[in-house]
Amino acid sequence: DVRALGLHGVGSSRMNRLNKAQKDKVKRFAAVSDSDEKTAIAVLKSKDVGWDLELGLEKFFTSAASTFSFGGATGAVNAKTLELTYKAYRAADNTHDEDIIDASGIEKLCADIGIDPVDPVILVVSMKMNAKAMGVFTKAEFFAGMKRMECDTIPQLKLKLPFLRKDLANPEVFKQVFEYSFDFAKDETHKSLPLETACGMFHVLLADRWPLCADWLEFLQKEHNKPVTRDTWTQTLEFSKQIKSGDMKGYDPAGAWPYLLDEFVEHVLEKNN
Amino acid sequence: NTSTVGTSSRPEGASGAGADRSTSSSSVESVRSLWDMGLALFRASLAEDTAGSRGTDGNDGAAPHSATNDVLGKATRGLLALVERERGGEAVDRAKVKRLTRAFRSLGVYSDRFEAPFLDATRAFYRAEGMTFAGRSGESVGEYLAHCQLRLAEEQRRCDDYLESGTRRALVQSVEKELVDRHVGWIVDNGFDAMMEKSDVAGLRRMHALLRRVDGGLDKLRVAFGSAVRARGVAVVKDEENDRDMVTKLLELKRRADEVAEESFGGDEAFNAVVKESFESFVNQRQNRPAELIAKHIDGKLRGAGKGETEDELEHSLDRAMALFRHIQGKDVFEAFYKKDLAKRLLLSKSASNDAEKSMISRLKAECGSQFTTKLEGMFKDVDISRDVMRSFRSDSERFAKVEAAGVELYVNVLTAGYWPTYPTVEVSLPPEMDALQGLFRDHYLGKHGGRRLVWQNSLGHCVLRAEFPKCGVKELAVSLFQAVVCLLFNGNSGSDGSLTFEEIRAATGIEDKELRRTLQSLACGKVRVLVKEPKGRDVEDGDSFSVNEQFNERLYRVKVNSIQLKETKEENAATNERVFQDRQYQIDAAIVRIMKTRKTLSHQLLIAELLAQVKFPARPTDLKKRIESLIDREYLERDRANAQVYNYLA
Repeated sequence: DVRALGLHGVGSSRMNRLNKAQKDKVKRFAAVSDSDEKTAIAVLKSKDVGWDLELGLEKFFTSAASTFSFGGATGAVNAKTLELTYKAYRAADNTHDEDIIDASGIEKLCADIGIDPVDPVILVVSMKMNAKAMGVFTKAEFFAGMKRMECDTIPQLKLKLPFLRKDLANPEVFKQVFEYSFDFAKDETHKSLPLETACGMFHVLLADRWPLCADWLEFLQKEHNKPVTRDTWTQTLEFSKQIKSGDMKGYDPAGAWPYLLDEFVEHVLEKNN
Repeated sequence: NTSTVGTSSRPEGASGAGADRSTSSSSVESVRSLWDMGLALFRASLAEDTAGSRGTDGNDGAAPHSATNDVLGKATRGLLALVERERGGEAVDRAKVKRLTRAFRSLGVYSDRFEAPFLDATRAFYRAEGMTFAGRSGESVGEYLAHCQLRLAEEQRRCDDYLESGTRRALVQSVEKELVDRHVGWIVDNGFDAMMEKSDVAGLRRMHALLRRVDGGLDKLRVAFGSAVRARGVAVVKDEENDRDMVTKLLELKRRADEVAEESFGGDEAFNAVVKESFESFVNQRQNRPAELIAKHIDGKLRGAGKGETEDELEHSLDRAMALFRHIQGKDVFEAFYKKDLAKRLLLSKSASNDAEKSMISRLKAECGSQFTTKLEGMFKDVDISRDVMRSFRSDSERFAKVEAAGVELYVNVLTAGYWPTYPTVEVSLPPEMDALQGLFRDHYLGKHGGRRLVWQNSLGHCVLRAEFPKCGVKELAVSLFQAVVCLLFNGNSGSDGSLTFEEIRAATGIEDKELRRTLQSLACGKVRVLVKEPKGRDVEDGDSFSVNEQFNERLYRVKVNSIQLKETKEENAATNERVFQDRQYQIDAAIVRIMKTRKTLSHQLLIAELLAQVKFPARPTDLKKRIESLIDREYLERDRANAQVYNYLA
């Protein structure tokens, strides 16, 4: 009998009593809030939340009694301060259904912390927030992200930037950010990323690290009039790490590169001849 | 000089000397026979240098051959000069020369003192001759080859006439080497193509015979043959302007190539193989079109295009067309077109010979497997069964009486969907009389075959309308169903106010816009005009109005109004090609899933290799890649996180 076998058995059996939608919500809650399933279920189950994910997250973050801290953090983040910070960028009540920071709010945020909206570090910030869509930070996402970054004010966030940039230098982190950016930038209902958006994102992420970025963008805009698939997106990063010069040194035509990259190689080699 | 030596030697051995020889040889062996001794003494004296020093018995190490001044040396030089003069065309006393060479032989000095310098001189002579003629631009290779053969024949005769038979081999080889071997490149590169062009079978035979004698000669010839066939073939296949002549030209090329291989190259298997390889390589240089054109060619034959041909000739034609088809790698394109064309032939009764149709099926079975031909055979069966169905319909007296009462003859072909090509269903509002007739048939048929579903293929229907025109009286118009439906609208509408606009016709017939425009165009803007269009013009525009052509005046009683226009055929062909293409994509997808399901995880290279082995039509790795990516996007597969060159199956 599994149930008799220890504590983790209890948690799983709790999960087993939930339906698929609820399980998904538990997982997402736990991810955004960095807590465990037990906490997630407890919050989501409660009467005033009633399995509403956003509501549950908001309640969790704004619960007055809690001061959150992350394992080994230098300082606790104050919920009330965060609330004030949030309010400064929150979209006006009559423009949206939910409590969010919208695109103009984000622009203002960027300006206030002194970054260009096309600075890749904003993607790191978004990733920390686990933001689902570009141009929107929900309240829960904002709270979770700031918590992760151990900031509750704008000046703190500004100070955090160099550390985030350093993170980007780590290839593992950069890969995460890169792959995250695909889902972040695309419409939830679509599978692939529209060409223009993809080009914008490629530019933000790769312009400074890949000598062939400009060629790649030119190629995409001239020759490829279709959206960019996820596979092509992720493989472009790999490609940019291996092939950095116009002679396409290191490229193996018999390799498993997506055909768009094969065509890119052909295009550049032809152009240079 | 020669005359002084010539007369005195008697190598045959006169009887007297023979007696002496035998007497001596029966005694001690170390003692030479008298004859031999005599020869030895004679030889020694000849070998004396006229200046006094010893000759070629090797002792003083002097240069052994014609450089010496002994009698033998002089004799040799003289002989060689004679040979050279003879080669130059002069007549020479051959008997005398023969006696001399025989003498050399008896003296045992033939090989050293004569043959060796003779061969040297021969080589020098022919080297010079070769250089003079071969390699010169403007020089005819054919003439050169003929010359070589003459020289070879000449030298052989020379050998027979006054040289020793042992010399023959080396002599012939020398000539071959100097005249042919040294110039193989020139011979083949300059002569071959022109001879191929002119179908100079004799010249090529000569080339083959000569090149056969030298090492690597035939290889070079084979390569040139292959290139020549391939070059011509590629030119034909890639000539897009002249697609309609492609098959005829290729058949002609095959005939010529086979003829050359047979007549000039002696039916050598290696050369036949070269023809096959060349055809295989160039016919596949262009995707799809050659297969389509071969199908069209065969369709023409089966419709009776070769009217002057006998049955046997027709069968030969088909054999040759199939031989060409055999080289094609993308056979599915051919199949799609063959099926489409067969359907048309069967439904419009256009087959010229049922035997030929059946023999084609056997050929296709042998070539493509029974999987393809069972569908075709099904089509034939359907046509036969339809005849029976019609018979039973006619004997269905209750229903058929109504058909007869309508005064319309009805014939229905019932097609089993899986066997026939897929046809687009085009909507049309039939006039009530036609609708009623269809209904009667349907009731009869479904009465007999309850579980089946009948779908009318209006795009395939054709009619014969009886029409009365003011100028030419009663005519029969052979038209398509759509054309008929449009025409019937004008019943009771004659005279200039009986016109109908495009929109009115569209509403009344329910025919889809593009199809309707095409139909009206075929009735009002083609060669035979049943209707007239206002305003005049090639294309049917919105607002155009149509009326019966009062001026219609055709000579024949039954007038065919063509509904198949060139553009339509192009569209049809493009659609067929598209369908084959789609089909191939499905096949690739299915193969990928099948392979990955079994292997679970596989590297890119291995997957591509497996696919190329499994897939029955030519597929490029790029196309395969695209399908793999599509399946990744649809989450059937994923790239391995650790190694992007490896794919994992996603259950």
